[in-house]
Amino acid sequence: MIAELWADLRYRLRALFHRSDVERELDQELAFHITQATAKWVADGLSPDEAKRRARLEFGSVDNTKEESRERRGTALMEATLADLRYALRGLLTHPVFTAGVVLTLALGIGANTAAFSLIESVLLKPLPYPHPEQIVSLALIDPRGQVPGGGAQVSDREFAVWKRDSRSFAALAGLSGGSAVLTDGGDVEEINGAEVSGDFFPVFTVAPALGRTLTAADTRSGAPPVVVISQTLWKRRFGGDAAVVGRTATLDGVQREIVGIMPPGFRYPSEADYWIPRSFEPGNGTMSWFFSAVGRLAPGRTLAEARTELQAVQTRAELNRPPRARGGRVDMLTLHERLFGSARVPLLRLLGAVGFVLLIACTTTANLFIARAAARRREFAIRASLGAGRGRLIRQLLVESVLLAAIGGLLGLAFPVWGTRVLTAVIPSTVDHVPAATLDGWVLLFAAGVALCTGVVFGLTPVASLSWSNLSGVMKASAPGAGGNQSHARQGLVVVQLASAVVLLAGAGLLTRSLTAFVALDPGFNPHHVLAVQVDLPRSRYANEHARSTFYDQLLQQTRVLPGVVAAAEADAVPLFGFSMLSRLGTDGAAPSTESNEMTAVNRVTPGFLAAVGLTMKRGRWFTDADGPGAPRVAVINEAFAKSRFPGSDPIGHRLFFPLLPNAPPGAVPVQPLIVGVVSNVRQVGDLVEPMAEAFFVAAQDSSVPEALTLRTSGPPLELVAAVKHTIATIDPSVAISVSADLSAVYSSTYADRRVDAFLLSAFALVALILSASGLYAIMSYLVIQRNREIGMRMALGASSAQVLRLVLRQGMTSTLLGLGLGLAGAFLLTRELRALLFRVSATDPSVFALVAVILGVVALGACYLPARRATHVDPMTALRWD
Amino acid sequence: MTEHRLDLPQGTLDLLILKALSLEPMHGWAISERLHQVSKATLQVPQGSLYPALHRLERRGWIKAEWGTSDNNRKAKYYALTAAGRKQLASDADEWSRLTTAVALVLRMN
Repeated sequence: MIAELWADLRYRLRALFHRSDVERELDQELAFHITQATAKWVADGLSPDEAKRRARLEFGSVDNTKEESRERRGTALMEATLADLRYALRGLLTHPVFTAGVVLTLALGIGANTAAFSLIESVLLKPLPYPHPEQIVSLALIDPRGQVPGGGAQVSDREFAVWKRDSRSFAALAGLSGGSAVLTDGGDVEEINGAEVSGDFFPVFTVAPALGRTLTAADTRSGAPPVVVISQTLWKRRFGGDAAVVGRTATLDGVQREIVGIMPPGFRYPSEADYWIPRSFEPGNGTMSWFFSAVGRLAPGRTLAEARTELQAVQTRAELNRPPRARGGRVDMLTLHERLFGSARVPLLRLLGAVGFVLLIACTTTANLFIARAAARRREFAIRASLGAGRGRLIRQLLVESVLLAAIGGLLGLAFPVWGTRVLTAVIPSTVDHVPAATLDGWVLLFAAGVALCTGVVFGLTPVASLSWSNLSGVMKASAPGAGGNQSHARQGLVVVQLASAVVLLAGAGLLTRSLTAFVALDPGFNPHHVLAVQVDLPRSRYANEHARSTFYDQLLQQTRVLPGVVAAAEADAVPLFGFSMLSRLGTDGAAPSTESNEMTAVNRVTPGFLAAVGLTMKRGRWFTDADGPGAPRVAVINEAFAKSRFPGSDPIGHRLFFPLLPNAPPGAVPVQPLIVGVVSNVRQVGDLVEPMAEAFFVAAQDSSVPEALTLRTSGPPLELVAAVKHTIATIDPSVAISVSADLSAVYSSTYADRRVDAFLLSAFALVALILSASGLYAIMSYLVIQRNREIGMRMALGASSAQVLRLVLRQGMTSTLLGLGLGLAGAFLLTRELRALLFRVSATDPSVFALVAVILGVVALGACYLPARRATHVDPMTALRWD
Repeated sequence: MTEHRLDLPQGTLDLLILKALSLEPMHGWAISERLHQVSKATLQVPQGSLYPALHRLERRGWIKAEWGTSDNNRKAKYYALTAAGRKQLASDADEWSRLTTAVALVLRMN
C-alpha cells in the first residue's frame, strides 16, 4: 500500500517537475506507434502515403490522446495550482507596496505567535530530560498556618523521616538542599552552585553518571569519607574533561572531597547545579536540617493522585501524637515539572492571548487590504469569468494568493522567535528559577506553518464572501456606482473587529500600567539608592566557631567603613528586600507570647550603623548608639507594623519585649526583656511582599550574635565599590569569596520588573492594535468617500453645506467606532478578569481606565474619519457628477 | 472495416493490457497488435485510448516503463508488469470471470 502510494507520488512528481521530458517521451512513443502501423500497412501493399493515412485514421486524434494521457498522469490539479502560483507571484510583484505591507503585517502577527509558542513549547510542553519524567514529583508540607512568605516548597526532617518510613507510594524519595560552595582548586577561588543530596537523589532521576558513580546512602552516613559528584560543565571547564579526575580530590568550602562521579551533559538539577555532595536528612544526627526540598519517583503503577492521598493519610496519622496546634499539615505534591514551571503557565497563556489578538488584527488588516484589492480587480475577475473560469477557479486563485502571502510572511516571521523569545522570556515570573532556552524545532515550524496556512485561508476567503458573483458580468459593462456595497459592509465589519481588539488590549495595558505606577509609587520604607549589600561565604571548616566568625565580620565592618566612598556601614541579620533570616514570636511586658494570638515577628539583629546605611526613617524615640554596648541595658526598636498590632493607640516606647526561652536553654536562665526605645518606618522585607510584617531590631553586640549581611551606603554608584570590598576581604582572608553583591536600587526595581515587562508588552501590542485599526478606519472612510463622491456632489449641488457633508461622513465612521468600542468594552469587561492576579490596587473593571480607553479610541477614530470627511467637503459638484 | 467488431466494456482495457503484459514486456504498438490478433480481430481497441490507459497503469505502479530497442532497431518504450500489477491482474481476472459467469447464468434464464 505504502509502496504504491510512493510509486504514485514519484510518478506525479516526475510528471510535474520534468514535464518537458515526459512530454517528449509521449511524443516519441506515439510517433513510434504511427511508424509501426504505417510499416504494417506498407507491408500489406499500400503506398507509403496511403499507409500513413490509414495508420493515423486507425489511431484517432493524437492531440486527444495526448491530452487524455496528461490527465491520466494525475497532475492536472497540481499543474493548475502551479499556474495559479506563477500568476499570483506575478500579480504580487507588480504591486510591491501592497505586497510588502501585507507581508510585514503578517510577519509581525505570525512571528509574534510563533515566538510565544516556541517559548511555551520549551517551558511548558517539553518534558524534563529524565526517564519517565512524569513519575518525578516534588513534595512539600504546608503547615496549618500557611507558608512562611518567600519560603518556597519545603519539608522538615521530622516529616521527611515519617514519609520515608511509612509511605508505600515511592520507588525513591530524596531530600536535597540547594546552595553554593567555594571551590578552591587549581588557583582560582570560585563560587559554584550545587546541592546537598540524600542517598536516594540519583535513583529518583535514574540518570547514570557519564563517568564513575553517583552517590549512595552509604556516602551520607556520618564518618563516611567526603565525596562529591560534579556536573559535565564543571568537569569540562575546571578539569579540562580529563577522565583521570575521577578519584582525585576537590576542595569545596575548605573540605577535601574525592570526586567519585561525573554526570552526563544536561543534568543540572536543582537549577544550575555543578556539584552534589552527600547529606543525611534524617533527624537527630547532630546537624539541624529544618527546611529542605524533597523529590520522589512514584512507584511503578502509582498515579500522582493516589500517592498524594496516601501520603496525606501518612501525615495525618503521624500528627495524631502531636499537640493540636501542630496538626493540620497539608501535603503539597506536584510533578517536578509543575513545581519548576507551573508559575509560568498563566503568564505564558496570557502572552499567547495577547499575541493572538495581534494576529487577529494582522488578519483583519490584511483581509481589509485584500477586499480593497479585490474591488479593484473586479474587472479582471469578470474577464476571467467570461473566458470560462468557474467560480471555484477564481476562489482558488484568491486562496493561492493569500496563502502565498501568508507563507512569505510566515517565513519572514520565523526570524522573530530567534530574538523575539529573548524579549518575551521576560514575561516568565522570576519564581521560575531557570528558564530553558527556546529552540526553533520541528513543532515550532509546524506551528508557524499551521498559523500561516490558517491565516492565509481566513483572510483569503473574506474577499470571496464579499464579492457578489452574480453581477460580475455587469461589471464588464460599466463600473456601476452602487456596486461594492457588500464589500464596504464586510470592511466595516472588519474595522469593528479591529477596533474592538484594540479596545481589549488598551484596557489590559491601561490596567497593568496603573498597577505598575501604583506599585512604584509605594514607599519601600527605606532609601534603596546608593546602597551596596554584600554577603560572603566563610569556609565552614575554618569558621566553625562563633569567635572566628565574629572576628572576621568585625574586621570586615571596621575596614569597609573607612573605604573612600562609603558614607555609612552596618551589619545585620537581614537586609531589606532579601527576606527574613529569623522569625519568632515575641511577648510584651513580662508576658510570654501566646502561639494563638501573637503573630510571627521578623527579628533583625544589627549594628548601630544600620539606620543610616539602609536609610530607615525614625518615627518615634531613638535609634541605637554605640553606647548600647554589651554591658548596657538591653534595648530594642520596633517597626510601625509591630507598634500598630501590639500597642494600638498607645506609645510603645518604654514598654518591654519578651523573648521566650529556647527549649535547650540552661537551667536558671531568665527570659530577655529589652526596652523599646524607638519606632521606625515599615520596610519592605521581601521583594514583592507589599504588606510589611512586624519587625523588631536588636543590637547584635547585646545578643552576642554575629550578623552576616554587610550593608554599605555609598556616595557614588554602589557597584563601583565591589572591587575595593573584594580587596579588603582578601587582606583579611584570601580564601573567602563574595557570594552576593547587589545594588539595592537594582534589587528594588527588580521587584516590579515582572510588572513592568507585562505592562510594557501589553502596551506595545495595544499601540500596534490602535495604529492598525485607526489606519483601517481611515482607509475604509477614504474609500467610502470616493464611492459616494457622486452622491456627495449631488447633495452639494442641491445646497448641502460643508458642515452637513462633514457630519454625514463622520456619522458613518463614528457608527463603526461606537460599535467597535461597545464590543471591545464588553470583551474587555470579560477578559480583564484574567489579569486580576497581576493587578495591584486597581480593580479589573476600573472605570477610569475604561473611560480613558474610550476617549483615546474615540479621539483616534475621529481623527481617522476627519481627514476623509474633510476631503469630501472639497468635492466639486461638477466633477463629481461627471465621475465615471 | 466491414466485419462486425465489439466495443470494449468500460474498464476492461486495463485488464487486457495487464494480461498481455503478463506474457512478456511489450511496447504500445505490440500490445495493440497482440490484442487484435488474440481476439481474432473481434475486439475493437481504439489505438489512441491505449496510451492514456498505459500512463494511468504506470502511475498506479502496476506496470513500469523502460526505453529499449525494438526488433527493427528503433527506440521504443517497453512496458512490463510489476509485482503489484501481477496481483492486480489476478484479482481483476477473477472478478471478470465471476462477472461473466454470473451474467451468462442470468441470460440463460428462461
